[in-house]
Amino acid sequence: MLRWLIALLVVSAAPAMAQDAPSRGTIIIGFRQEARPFVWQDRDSGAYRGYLADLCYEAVLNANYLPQGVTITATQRAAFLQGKPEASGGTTPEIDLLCDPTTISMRRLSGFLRLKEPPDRRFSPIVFLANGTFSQRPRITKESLDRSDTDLTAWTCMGEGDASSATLLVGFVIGTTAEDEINELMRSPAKVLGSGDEPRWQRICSYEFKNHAEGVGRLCAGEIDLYFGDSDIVNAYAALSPSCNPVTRPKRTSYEPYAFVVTDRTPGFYDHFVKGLYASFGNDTKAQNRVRTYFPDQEISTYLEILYRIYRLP
Amino acid sequence: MEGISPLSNYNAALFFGALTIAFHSWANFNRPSDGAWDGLGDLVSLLNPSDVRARQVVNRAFFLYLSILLLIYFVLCSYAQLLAPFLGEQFASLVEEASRTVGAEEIPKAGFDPEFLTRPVVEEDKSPSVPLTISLAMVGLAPQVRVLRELESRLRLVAHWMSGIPTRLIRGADALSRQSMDIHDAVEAAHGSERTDTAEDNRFLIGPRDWKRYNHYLDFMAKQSIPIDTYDLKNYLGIIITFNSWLLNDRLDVVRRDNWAAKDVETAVQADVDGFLASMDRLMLFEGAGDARRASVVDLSPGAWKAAEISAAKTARMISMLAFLLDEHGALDTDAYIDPNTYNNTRRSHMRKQIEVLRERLDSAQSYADWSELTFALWGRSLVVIILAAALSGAVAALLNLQAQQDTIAIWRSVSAYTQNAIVIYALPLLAALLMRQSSMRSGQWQNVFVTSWVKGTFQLGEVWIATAFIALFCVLAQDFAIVMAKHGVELVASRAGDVVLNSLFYNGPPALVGPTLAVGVLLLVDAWESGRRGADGSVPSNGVIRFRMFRAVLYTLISLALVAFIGKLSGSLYVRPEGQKMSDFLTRLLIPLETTETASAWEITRDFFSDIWVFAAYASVTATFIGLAVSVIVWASLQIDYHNLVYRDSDEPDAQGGDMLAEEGAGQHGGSEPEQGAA
Repeated sequence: MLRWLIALLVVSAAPAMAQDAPSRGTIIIGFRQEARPFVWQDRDSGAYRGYLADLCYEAVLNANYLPQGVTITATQRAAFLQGKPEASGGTTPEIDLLCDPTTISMRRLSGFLRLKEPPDRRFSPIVFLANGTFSQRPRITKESLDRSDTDLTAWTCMGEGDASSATLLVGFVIGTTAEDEINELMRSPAKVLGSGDEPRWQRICSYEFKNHAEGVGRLCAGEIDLYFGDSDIVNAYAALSPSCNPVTRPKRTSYEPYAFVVTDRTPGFYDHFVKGLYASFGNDTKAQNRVRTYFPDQEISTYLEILYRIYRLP
Repeated sequence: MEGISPLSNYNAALFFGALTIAFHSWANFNRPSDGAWDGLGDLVSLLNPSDVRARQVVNRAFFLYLSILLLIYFVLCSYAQLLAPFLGEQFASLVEEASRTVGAEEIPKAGFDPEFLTRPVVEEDKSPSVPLTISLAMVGLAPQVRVLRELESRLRLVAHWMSGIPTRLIRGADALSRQSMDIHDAVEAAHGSERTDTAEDNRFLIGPRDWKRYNHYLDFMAKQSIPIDTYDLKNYLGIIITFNSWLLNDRLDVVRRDNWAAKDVETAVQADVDGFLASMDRLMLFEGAGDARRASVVDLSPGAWKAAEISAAKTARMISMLAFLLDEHGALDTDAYIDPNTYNNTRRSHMRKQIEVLRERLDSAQSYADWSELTFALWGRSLVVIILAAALSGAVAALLNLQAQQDTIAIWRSVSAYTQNAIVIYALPLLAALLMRQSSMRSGQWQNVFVTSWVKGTFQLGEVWIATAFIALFCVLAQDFAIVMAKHGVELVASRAGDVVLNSLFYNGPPALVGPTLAVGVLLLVDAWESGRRGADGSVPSNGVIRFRMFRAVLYTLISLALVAFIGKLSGSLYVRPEGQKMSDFLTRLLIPLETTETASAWEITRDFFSDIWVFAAYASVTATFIGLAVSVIVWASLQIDYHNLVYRDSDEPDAQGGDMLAEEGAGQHGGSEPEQGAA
């Protein structure tokens, strides 16, 4: 209840503050609909909520801009990050800021530098540190890896054997960093998930889901064996279904530093936004409340704590 | 930034958690555990658990306590997530909070760290905060988890109880304080005749003033019409006067305070004794205590004298505790060399005599206390004997089976199987049965079938049999489930749990009932042995009667064992072995669906059972061996006790009967000739 109140307060504060302060203009922010607890769209009110959504609103307001949210799908987001609008059929909205748990990586930084089509894209300072993990359904048996009766035409398979071979079904959200992880999983010499008693697999078939809600839902239903994603996101969606109890792989398999992506659609916005972002971290009480709202009863990790302390600029 | 290895972090946390428990557990262990401590009276605030038993016993109890605490700690850490729902909401939230962290818990090393991405996903890490928080909660530091504190508290209670802390001291002091001291009879016997003992020189080594005081007390009580029976009061006074001179005033010269320094305890006891004697002086007008006016008005109200008796009992018990404590800590040197340069021959002779008396009284009281409590030593030794015997039987059985083929691994397997079965089938039920008996004894509910009614006793033994059989069957079921799950997996076993239960109960259940039957047999034997104690009517059965009762106990046990064996054979024969199944394959056997035979009649089964005489003989010999072992343990323990001697002096129900019995005994001696000491 508290988190809704605070989120509502932040959202409702936006126009009020904009009226009071001189506005430099309107900023279009791209939000995803299903990436809890970082960002999602409330189905009833249509408002965007989440830890990163709040941070975006606050930073934009701190920079004296008027925020305006638009929905961006996973496919559109992937096309935006690759600089290939045609990949989404040209439907990607023009945005100033992608407010989403986007991993800043060397590959993406290089990709942004190689972009020839406007607008230019730049990563903001890192706003969150996460670990990607594989979550698995509780019981994987030798019998359950027999997928000979499953239609896998829409799946991308790799490995030895055919449809009768022991097949591991892995899901992830389109446009995420899962590809590298799945390749690493395939290269695993043991080809077993947990202890040596668990069945071996011979090939992996992966599927790109449109959003985490759908992917985690399939994991909870036992239709896939593994799901790759930020453990906070998987836990958040698993918690929505009381009967769902996926086993999160305790080992963190990837390092995922999240940052926002800012375009040059509005000249001068980047510098003001970065200043506004640091200002958001400078207020310790607000920063702590933001964490408590979206991650209740959880301790902030040491690395994240250090990062946020570093951001308290003099 | 250095990457953090969670596995090593977890292990380090596990280690430090164990250290935390080890460091804090002594302070926890050395705290009173239950209401039994109230029995220490005024000394309760001055004594810790480590004070009431010898250091070796306390260390052993502490080692047991710490070992189990650490075992529980490691189990809790290993299965924290699994156990969380069963240990209450507080524990669940503790584990959940400790293991839930928002944000990255790991970051690769500087630059590209291929290990971070390419390491196998089969490894498992755990949050280091789990063992740390569990260890802190277990030792009572923050956070407070009630169930863990309760666990520690109960474990401490068990460790204390098994080591007789403080029950041995309380029971021993009770027994000691109710023993009749020779001074009482000697002084009373000397009345009206020539007194050989004087205040300055008496063979009881009582201080001059106390000697005069005791003589005055006895004279006073003889002359006045005291409204209560003063026999107990005189006895208590005798003990207080004697121990006051011997121990607190060092007239026996046996106290070696270097071995156990407890000045505050001695001071408290001395203060209590002085206070009590002062009140007695006032009551019995010793040396002008009270003013001249009171001298003519003697208080003869029953209330005052009853209060005096209660107060005497309390003080006698307190000073007996001191004697018991001094002896427990080796501060009573009853083998001390008496220096002829310090004491003359007469004095040395008196000292030797009284030291012997003190030793005898203490030994008698200690025996009573040991026998009244199932001590750690008895438990431990019984377990060790049973396990060793089982291991030996396993080795012999394996050697006989293998004959020429000497396979070391097979022998060890056989030893292991026999040992494990012995623990489950024999040791656990036996210990549980003894525990139940002990518990009933403490609450005064135990009915000795040889003394009271067989109807009540049989029901009681039936209850013990059912409870211990339940324990044995539960353990057998758990064992079988564990083995079958290891072999066939949880899912298969879960889907056919009913078959496993039935197969396990029908095949392994009957042999598991041998232990409970034996345990009840042992209780019967103990009852037969204990029926030799003085009865309520004061009669003591002859040794022949006791031997016959013990023979009956063995006979009943053997008949019961034969019955259990027959039932076992009967239930085992209800199966039809499916074609191709090996009956020797235990694991497969457990998964055979239960089918009943249509061919074998009860008569055929019975005939088959008795025709296989060699099997029966082997079965009987093994069970007889265990009967012998169990009896040996009990008899061996009881041989260390001069039990009949103790009973002669005291009774098992001192509050109800002790005074009367002692009164009878004392009356007999009083009216008779000069007591032994007087004649010597």
